[in-house]
Amino acid sequence: MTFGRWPRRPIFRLPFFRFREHDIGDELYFHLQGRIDELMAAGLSREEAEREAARRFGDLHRIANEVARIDRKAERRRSLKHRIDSLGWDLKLAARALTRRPAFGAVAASTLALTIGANTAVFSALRSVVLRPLAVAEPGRLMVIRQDAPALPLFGAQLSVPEVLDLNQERSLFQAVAGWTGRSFNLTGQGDPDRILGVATIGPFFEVFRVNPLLGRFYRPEASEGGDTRVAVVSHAFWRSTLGGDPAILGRHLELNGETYEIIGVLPAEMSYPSTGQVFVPYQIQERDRQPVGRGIWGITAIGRLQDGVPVESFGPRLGAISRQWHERYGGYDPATGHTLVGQPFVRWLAGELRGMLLALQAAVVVLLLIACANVGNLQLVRVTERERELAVRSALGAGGRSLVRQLLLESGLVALAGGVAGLALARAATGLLRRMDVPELRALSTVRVDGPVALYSAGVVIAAMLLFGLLPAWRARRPDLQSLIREGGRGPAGARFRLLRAGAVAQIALSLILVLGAASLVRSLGRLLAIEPGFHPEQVTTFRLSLPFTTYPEQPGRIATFDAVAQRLRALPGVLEVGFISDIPFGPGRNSSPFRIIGRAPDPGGAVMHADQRFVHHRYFQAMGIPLRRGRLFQPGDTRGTPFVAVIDQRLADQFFPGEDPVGQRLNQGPDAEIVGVVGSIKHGSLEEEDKATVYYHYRQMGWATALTAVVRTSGPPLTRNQLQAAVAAAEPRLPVFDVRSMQDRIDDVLGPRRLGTAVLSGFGLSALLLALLGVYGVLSYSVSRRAQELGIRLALGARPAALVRSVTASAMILGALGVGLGLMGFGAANRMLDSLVYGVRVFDPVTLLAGIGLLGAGVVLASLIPARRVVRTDPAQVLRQE
Amino acid sequence: MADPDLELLRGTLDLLILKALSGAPCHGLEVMRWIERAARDRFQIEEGALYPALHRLEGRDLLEAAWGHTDQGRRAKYYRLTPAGRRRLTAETVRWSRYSQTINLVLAAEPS
Repeated sequence: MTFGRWPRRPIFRLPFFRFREHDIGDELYFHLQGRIDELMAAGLSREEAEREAARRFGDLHRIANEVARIDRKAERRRSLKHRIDSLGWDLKLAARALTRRPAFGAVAASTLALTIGANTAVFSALRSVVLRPLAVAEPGRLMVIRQDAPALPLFGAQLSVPEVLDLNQERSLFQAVAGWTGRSFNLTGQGDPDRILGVATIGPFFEVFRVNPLLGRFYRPEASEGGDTRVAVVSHAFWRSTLGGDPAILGRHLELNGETYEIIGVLPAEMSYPSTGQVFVPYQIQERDRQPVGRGIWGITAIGRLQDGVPVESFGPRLGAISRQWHERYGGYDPATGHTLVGQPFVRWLAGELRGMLLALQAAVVVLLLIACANVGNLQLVRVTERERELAVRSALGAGGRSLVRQLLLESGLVALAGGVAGLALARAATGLLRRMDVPELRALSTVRVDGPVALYSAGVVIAAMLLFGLLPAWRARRPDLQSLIREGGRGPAGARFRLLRAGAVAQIALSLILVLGAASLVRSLGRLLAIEPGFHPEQVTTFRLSLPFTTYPEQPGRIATFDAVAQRLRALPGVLEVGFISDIPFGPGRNSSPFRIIGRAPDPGGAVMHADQRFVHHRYFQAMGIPLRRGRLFQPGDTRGTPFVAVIDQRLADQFFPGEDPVGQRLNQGPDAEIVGVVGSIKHGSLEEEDKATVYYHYRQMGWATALTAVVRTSGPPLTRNQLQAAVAAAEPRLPVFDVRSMQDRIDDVLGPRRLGTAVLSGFGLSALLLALLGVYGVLSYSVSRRAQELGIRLALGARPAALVRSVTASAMILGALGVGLGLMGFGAANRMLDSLVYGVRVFDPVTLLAGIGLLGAGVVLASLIPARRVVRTDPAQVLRQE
Repeated sequence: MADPDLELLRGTLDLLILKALSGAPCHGLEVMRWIERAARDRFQIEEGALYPALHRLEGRDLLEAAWGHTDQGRRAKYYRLTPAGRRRLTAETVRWSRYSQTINLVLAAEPS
């Protein structure tokens, strides 16, 4: 180290602060030099002084480095503070700019709020129905297993108890397979008798879903075999509501159908499947389940968890292989029916019809957002242009291009933020509404909510929107063309910017056409569906269910007598025209079918396999439902136990299996032999668009178990209330609760629930899109007219006819419209495939739909051009010229 | 190196530096000399601790610095108190006085 001179070489490695190193070095060396001077003045020699000074000072390198580090930290903190301050300043400027002209901010923010809110709401529905409906471990490995017999036709049938137990043994394919079937319980001993929906499980149900009990424990699969079967696990919701959330619930008892069950566990809130399950009990395996005939009693919903390492794609083929093994091993399967086990991912199956609809809605709502962004972007662009003077002056005064861009981006950001916050609030309201929709087919929506991930998605949407509509105008503002501004006095059309505005309007028209056409297709499709006749007369018909459990009503005659008594009481009510019962009500839960053969006819190996729906009805059922009699007769009270078995078939069975001949008088066997005494019209059972299925009706006095039936009550005037019905039933049998009271029309409408919701929402989107697009067109035209005011004024002064000018304005509108329509049609063609699965009975590229959509848009565009056109006519040339 | 004694000293050193600069601006060496004189040479401050302390106080905007020239024409960095620094000096002086008074009180009390 040499003292006495300021060394200029760097004494430590600090890449940034090379300029600073000298300062630090200078300061420290100054100090050292001062000390050396002192010591030398005290009498030390130069070398001694240097050594002493160095010793006293300490490690120079270390100290210098420490000082440099301190300086660096301070520098960083200062620059951060500076950046935050300048950001704060820019934010204030942006806010002030927005509040000075509140029109833009308000319009933009509201547009964004509505579209961002819609986006968020749809996404949360998508999330809870399609993406993540069940909060269980690895829901993607859960599969629902059903049976198909395409030749019958029969699709998506449930399994039987022995079949489920067999599948549970297939350890190479499944970790576990379990099943459940619904149970209705009369709950007594907890206040008024009530009806609750339960679930009887077979196999390792809780293991399949990998749930852990919130309280207590679950019963083991072996509980179904015998022994301790009177145990129950309650759902979280049931525990909280009916049982009061009692923490000491374990060990309490429930009276279900007259039997005592001990509560041994409570499910966690996340286990919301099956959504109807309030109480879970072990299914009690009966004698018939152990016999060969038991394999054909299909009533269990089977769900399995794939074994680790089994790829999902191999699931179908392996189920097919298992089916073939069963065909060989067990009698009772007729391979001619094409019977096979089929499966699909449980999550997808759960979403059902809603899935397709929600995906389409998500796409639509994104399109709507794009339109909104184009709209707001145009507004922003216009605003930028109007402030051109101000921005140009600022730019000339040295505000760098970047800070102008930053300010405009901040303005866009504030607008987007306001829109996002408002949108989130709207989405919360909307999802709250969806949750409260009490329609069975829409029950999957009961868990829709705006939660963390949804809010994150919303934030992402806000950012994307801001970039979309904010970036381009801000970019354009970068270098305002000062020269041309001054030359044209700030009134030139600024060609490039105009092109952008027009492009924005065209984009909006195109996108909105896609939505309008999509909505129109769905509306027409819904119309087609609603026009389908169900085959009976649902108006003025109320239905409700009654259940007589075996334990309370052990004998069939007793049950028949009870139902007859109930029918009598109902018939006596004022305004009641007809009363009937049926085992499985159309458009209701449940459907029973069975193979049959025709007596006296040789089995036809190559022909259609004979399988028909089976119903047990009261003799006045057909009259109550308004099902017409085609041939023969209906049931009579005399068709009872002890008299020969009779059956009534529907038209479809007659057409299918008795073509050209009279079925009346023939005999068929679907259990016992029965003589066909009549033919009635076919009706729809599951949905309006399904194919008719052959149906055989039996008189419930002769056949069937008559435990749970649906009552059908036709009235001449307004429908009966629940209380009236309950009172009538109670008069016949006091311990019987009435439940699932709905009008027949409601049952039909509810099946269409998802479709109607989707169509309504999409129509809403379509209209909004149309409105936005028209506003956009109006905006562009109005702006263009105001910009060209001077030119137009001159032309008017020179004698041009106003009509010609109006035509020119309208013409430019039409050009925009035509371009937009062209692009929109192409886009719609691309979206075709998505719409196909949702549209019934109408081709997607249907000329009527297209004409309607294009016509609507065209009319709108012309309308939007009228106001600016009128302004042209009213232009006072003198005033305009004076303004220059 | 973190010497626990030095930690305590650093806080006290800051106070001394603030006091030293409560008058005219000084450079580091002048600050050092002033403290030594005022303390009647009763304690030695490690010279190396001074400059980190000065820069830290500057980083916290309690001091501001400027380059100037000494009478001999040498280039030196001068420091002076900012208004915030002045306020801090007052506050810390009061605190120190209270602190030492309290300690003295305890030391003067009778052991139990």
